[in-house]
Amino acid sequence: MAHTEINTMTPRRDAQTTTFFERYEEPMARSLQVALLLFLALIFFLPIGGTLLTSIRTIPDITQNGAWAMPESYQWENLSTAFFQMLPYLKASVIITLPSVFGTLLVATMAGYSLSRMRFRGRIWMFLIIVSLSFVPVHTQLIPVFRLMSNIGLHDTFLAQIIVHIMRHIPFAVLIMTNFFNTVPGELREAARIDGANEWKIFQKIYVPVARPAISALIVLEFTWIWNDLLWGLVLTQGADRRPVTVGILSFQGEYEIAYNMVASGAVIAAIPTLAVFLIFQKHFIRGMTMGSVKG
Amino acid sequence: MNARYVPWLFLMPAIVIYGFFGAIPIFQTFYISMTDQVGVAAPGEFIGLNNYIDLLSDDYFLNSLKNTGIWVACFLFVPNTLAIIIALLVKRTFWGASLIKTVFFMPLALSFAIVGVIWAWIYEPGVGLLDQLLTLVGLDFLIVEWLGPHAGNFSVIAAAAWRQVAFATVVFLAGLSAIPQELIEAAKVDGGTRRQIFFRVTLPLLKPATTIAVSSALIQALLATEIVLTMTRGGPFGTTEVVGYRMYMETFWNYKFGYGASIGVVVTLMTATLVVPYVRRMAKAQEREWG
Repeated sequence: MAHTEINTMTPRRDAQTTTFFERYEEPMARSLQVALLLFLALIFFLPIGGTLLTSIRTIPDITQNGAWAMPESYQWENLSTAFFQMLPYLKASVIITLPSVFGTLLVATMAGYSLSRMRFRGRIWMFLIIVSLSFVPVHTQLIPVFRLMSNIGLHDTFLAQIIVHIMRHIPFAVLIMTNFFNTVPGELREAARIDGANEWKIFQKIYVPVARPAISALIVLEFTWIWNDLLWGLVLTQGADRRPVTVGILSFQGEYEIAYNMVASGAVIAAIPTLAVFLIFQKHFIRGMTMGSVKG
Repeated sequence: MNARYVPWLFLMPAIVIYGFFGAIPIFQTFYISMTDQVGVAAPGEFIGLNNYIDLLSDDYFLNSLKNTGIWVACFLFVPNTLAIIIALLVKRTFWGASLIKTVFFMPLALSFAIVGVIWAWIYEPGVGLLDQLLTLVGLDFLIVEWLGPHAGNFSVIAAAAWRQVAFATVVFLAGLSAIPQELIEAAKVDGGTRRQIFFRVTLPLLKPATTIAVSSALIQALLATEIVLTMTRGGPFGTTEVVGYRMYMETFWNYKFGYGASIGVVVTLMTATLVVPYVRRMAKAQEREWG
């Protein structure tokens, strides 16, 4: 500190120099702020709100009364039609996503434990390589992976997509797990070692349960990200059979074109799984994001 | 069991899976970019840096590069500024804060496929949500051809920014709650004005959050591919094409694998320049942690 002099001035409330920034705890400014926030929230919500609204209306109703009118008639069948049409894609997404999330978590928890809790040569290098790899763009791997999968006969299979998702998400998940294990006291491990437990036992019986918060946050994040992937689902598949719902929504859009209520229904159906997971596990999701994420 | 290789046993699955399906492909992409490979059937001939030289005079590529530049410029400021404002406002609400937060966070759960489909229809001329909304509030003179050749690139950016704001708001809210309230109080007692406190105390203390939000925005802007694919497919007349999308088109549409790979390498190198400072910071932090 450069100044040692104690400032005894009381907070100034000079009417002439008060700006918006200074006044905002007064009732007037306060309500202005709340109004601004609500306005921003409303604008922000319009795309989702408009989609929900349109999804249950009829086309004549939309064309006569405009997109923002309250529905004159409800057409819930839109949603069920979209659901049944989207069902094969939804199934494919489940088959692809669940094993991918499980695989990523398993592999990353082991690796993170090793990096954080064990001392060995090359540890810091390994960590830095993993940090850097978490930024590798898909564009660097798309072509050789596509070629490899074609060559080993895995093109247009679920397995190819599962392997690729695990591969793509290992670096980020290892990063999160390593950082989490860094915060766990080392005495836990020493105590168990003295009791004669081997490394795998210590990992499985002590560290995995301790890591619950990080693991649950990662499950929610990885589920959302893997479910939402489009590019791999497009590149690694041929026909509709093995395609995830992100690709499905595109063919749905192509099919219905100007039947906006159906396009909106399709979007709603496709969005429900990740939106539901997000709304239910929002805390975990946000915790995962703030645990050192640079993705979005 | 020899303790020396135990750490590597735990790392093994990660190394094998990433090595085989991730790391080797990275090197292969660099090699493929120096060949004239077409399709997957046969490897191409080695042609050195010819693909890169061709890129320099490829109007489609240069146009996509320009559009990506616009993405980066917009993403640098717009989503992050908005997110700081939102985060500050949300921080000060005491009622309904969690509901309002949820509204701002929700786009994070949506895929670019869905964001693209929703926004493509929002921008639809005449019948789309945006035109109808503007007409409703009497601002119809603002209506342009949103996905037309002039506004198209910006409209796609706005759709993607909607999602980026959500991410940045999460980051800034976390950053704000990490600032000790005593510091702000102390600054107030010292007679700092609101503006002074924000620019001299809050903003500098938000630096870690700002670094994350800004680098994320830059990376997202550089790599944008899926949203262009779903909203406009680069059209009309390539006015919304970006480098990531160009790479996808050259490879999986024109089957020019070698040429596509060279665009992939360019994209990767651009990203790398952004990432290096971040990785160095992580290195320092981790060395402190592990001694």
